Amino acid sequence: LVLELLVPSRHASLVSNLVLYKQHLLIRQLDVAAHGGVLKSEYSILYGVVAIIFLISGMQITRDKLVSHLTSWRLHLYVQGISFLLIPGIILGICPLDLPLTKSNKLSPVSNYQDNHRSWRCLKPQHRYQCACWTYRSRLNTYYHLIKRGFNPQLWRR
Amino acid sequence: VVLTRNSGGDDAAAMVEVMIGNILGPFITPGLCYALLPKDGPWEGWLPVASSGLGDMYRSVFQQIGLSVLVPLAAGQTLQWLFPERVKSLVALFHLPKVSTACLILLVW
Repeated sequence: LVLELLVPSRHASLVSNLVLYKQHLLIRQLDVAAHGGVLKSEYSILYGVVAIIFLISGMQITRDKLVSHLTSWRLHLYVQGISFLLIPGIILGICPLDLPLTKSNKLSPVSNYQDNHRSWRCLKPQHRYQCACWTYRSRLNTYYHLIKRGFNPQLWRR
Repeated sequence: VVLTRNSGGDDAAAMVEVMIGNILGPFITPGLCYALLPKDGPWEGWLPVASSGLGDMYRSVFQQIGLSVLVPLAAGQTLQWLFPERVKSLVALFHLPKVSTACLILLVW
């Protein structure tokens, strides 16, 4: 990248080279860490970096300590219970999974929302995406977009 | 594990829990998804593959866990067992705890 900036092409001015470089950098930044990007993160990170962490951990933790912890059942129960029961439960409480659907399960344009307003389908795809993100804010977002289209959330609850 | 170690916790316990969680996770998580996610609506694309494709998923998941967690862990333990003193000096010489902390930052990718 630096070379491209320092060695501008003969036919272009420095300014246009700078603009090109900035665009280039922007595109590059987007796919540096993407799967199949510059770093090939699906291999280098998911395999390489994780392996380095566990190799170093394996070199530091003594075997006696590991073996002694294998039989601490209460610890297993606590930790696995938190990660497989408590956290999914919290997400389930936050996330509105039971959103009603249209009668006809078809995609329809936003202007038709009167026909199937009890639905996610009345939202534009980008808003639907926003709402489907699993955050508390997304629930507020859902209400915001639905109310903006003349929908009363009080009637919407089943 | 890295965070536990850096905060002065019991990193061996954390390591054991990571291993157990990694082995249980691929069996519990798809079950939770199938049980809790609606089949249609905005969650259409969120379900894991249809149950016929589960075999492929398990193969790739356990390949990844094996190669990136279990094999390096076993290698580290073996090195420690073969050359305990040399490994200890190596860890101190190359500041390996700091290296693994730096690697932790890369995991966001």
